[in-house]
Amino acid sequence: MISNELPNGTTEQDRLSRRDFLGTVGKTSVLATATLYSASSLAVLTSTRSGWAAEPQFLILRDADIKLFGALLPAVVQQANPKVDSQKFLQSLDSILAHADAETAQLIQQLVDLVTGALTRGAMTGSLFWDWPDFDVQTVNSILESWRESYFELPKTVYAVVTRLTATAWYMVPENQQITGYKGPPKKIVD
Amino acid sequence: MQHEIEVAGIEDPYRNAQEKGWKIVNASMLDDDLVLEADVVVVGTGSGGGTAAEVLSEAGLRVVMLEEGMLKSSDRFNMAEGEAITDLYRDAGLQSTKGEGIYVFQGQNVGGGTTINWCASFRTPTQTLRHWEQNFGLKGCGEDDLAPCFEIAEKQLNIMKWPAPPNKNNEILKRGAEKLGFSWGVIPRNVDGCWDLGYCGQGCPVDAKKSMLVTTIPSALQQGAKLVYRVAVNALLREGDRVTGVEGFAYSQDDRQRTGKKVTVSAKHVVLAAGAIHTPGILLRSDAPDPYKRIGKRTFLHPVINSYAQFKEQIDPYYGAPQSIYSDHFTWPEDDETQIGYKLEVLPLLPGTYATLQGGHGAVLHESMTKLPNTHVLMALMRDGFHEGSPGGSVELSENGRAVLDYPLTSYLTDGMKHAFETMTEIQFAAGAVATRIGHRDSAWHNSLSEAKEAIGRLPIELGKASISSAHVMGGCAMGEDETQCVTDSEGRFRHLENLSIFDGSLFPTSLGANPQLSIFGVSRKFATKLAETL
Repeated sequence: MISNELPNGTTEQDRLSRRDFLGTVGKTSVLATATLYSASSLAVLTSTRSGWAAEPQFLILRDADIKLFGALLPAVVQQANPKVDSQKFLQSLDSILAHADAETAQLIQQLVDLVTGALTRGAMTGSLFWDWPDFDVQTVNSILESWRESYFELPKTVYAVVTRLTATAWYMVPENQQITGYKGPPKKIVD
Repeated sequence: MQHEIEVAGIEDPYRNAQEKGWKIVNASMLDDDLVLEADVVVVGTGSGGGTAAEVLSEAGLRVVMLEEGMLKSSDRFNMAEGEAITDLYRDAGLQSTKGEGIYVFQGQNVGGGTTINWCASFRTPTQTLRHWEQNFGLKGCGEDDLAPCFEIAEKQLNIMKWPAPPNKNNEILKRGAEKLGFSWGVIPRNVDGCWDLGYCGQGCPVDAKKSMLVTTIPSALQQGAKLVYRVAVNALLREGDRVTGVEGFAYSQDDRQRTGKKVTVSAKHVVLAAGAIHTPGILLRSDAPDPYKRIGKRTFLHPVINSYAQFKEQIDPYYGAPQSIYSDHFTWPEDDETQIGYKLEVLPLLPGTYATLQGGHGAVLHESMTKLPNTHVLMALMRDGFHEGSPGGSVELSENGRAVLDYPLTSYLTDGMKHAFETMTEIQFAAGAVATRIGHRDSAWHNSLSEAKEAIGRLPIELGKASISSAHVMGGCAMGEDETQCVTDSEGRFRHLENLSIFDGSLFPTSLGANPQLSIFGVSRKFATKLAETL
């Protein structure tokens, strides 16, 4: 019988292997890595348990996730109304990742690490010194376009994963659903 | 207006579960490991497991049902899309084939897919049963053999053609098909007292849908069966070639953390009904004998592609019975060699679903989303597995032991998809669409059929570009007498181990060419009845 144990928390060894992986990516280059590993095989490079929440109100989201998805949100949903409630969006995203299989959440957070990590962010965004919260919507849009049109698999995968996740998490929030003209479900009364 | 309707006065069958003496255990709350004994342990509570549990309990056997998902029922079905996706769908709706390929939506809750499907209930097509008999040596599963089981399910679950007018989304399929001379029909649905609200996919708030959650599972509980939910079965327990039970891990209630508590059930017989990705997964993790390497092979999806259309009229594609009209005009082409068959249906398009299926970002996404009330959506379900050009996918284990599906596209499939994109676009323009867009990352909105067809010819159908999804996973543990192809016999018994049966969609040697729930009800009832006689 094969053991299917997943670690409940992140061990020191996990952290080390995570650092090794990012170190390797940094030493070669992200794009070279992209040709070597498909997104799904990325998951087997480390055994990092996804998620240790940055804020008490989140189950899974870390600082890096909040930084990235917060920056992506305006570019992905192109909100006509500037009053974007990013807190509800982040809660929705957190809930989706917390309910997803551990391996799925882990893979997504590895992609987040790749595009936010100090060693790899430059290669993925073309900007060595600026970080995600510094980018304006046009810059984020250009980055997304470059991933989407990339010759390499990894940026294309990152594009597909992060845009879909952002749009899904945003449009699952009842208040945001009204932007589409959907009037919502009937009222449910439990008596 | 629809949203002003109030849903009230529904009596959730689980409300007084304790007074009724129902034995239900939430494994997330366990303080210690749980060890149980049973005559039969049924893994999974969807169309296969739910049916089997009822049949076996009625026969007087002690049954334990194990379910990985949550127990949610009508008191807590509030029709909110976000809550439904996280609480009732596997992997919170994020499950995909390898490499962000095909999005695979599977139910994960007490009731499985039947809690969140759109109620379409077709008998297994005759052509499909004949194909299985001829190519896999399947015995005793002809049209006449299965008819009595289908009749029981149809009566119990009140399956009949939808008697009310179709909603706009479905009516447009009928209108377009009629204009073009394509055949169409009314979908039989398993509902009783349906309010025509449209929230079948979020858990029926009025218990009109005759899902396993409100029919066979309560009936099994009433007969003394035990239900343990929030437990993921890891592997079979074995003594040599005899299966003696299963072992699994408890999950926490609100996220996917293991609690560290184990659940072990020893039983005279094990029924696997965890769906066509996870049943093979359990077998692979258990290192089950497989001399011809067939476990998890030939897995089929009815891969789905979509075409969207904007109309001047309001469609509200989220309200009303989600599926009431279908077209089989292209399902069984005369020449399978050149053309894969596909079934045409519509789907309920809530905002989150629309955003998920479209992908992409920025202006195109925004423009599509803000026209949702005037948007129509068609889908084509490719009938995969009947031709050597569509050999399906295979279930594999990740390094952590998780079952994942690899499903590569073939030119036979993608040629068929181009054909289906054209057909769907034709239907939508014939029905009066002002613009159409296919479900493809690089597609624009087109205002004429010729423009749209030119784009369809040009756009490559590749994973990650075309938006391909599935809600029907089948195959991987094929049934039949040809042991080189089939790991189960013609009664769902696993060939290479004793005391093990498989009663779910993984039995199907190909896809079906129709929505699967009634086919699974039928074979599960037939096989479980036979099994009960032998125990």
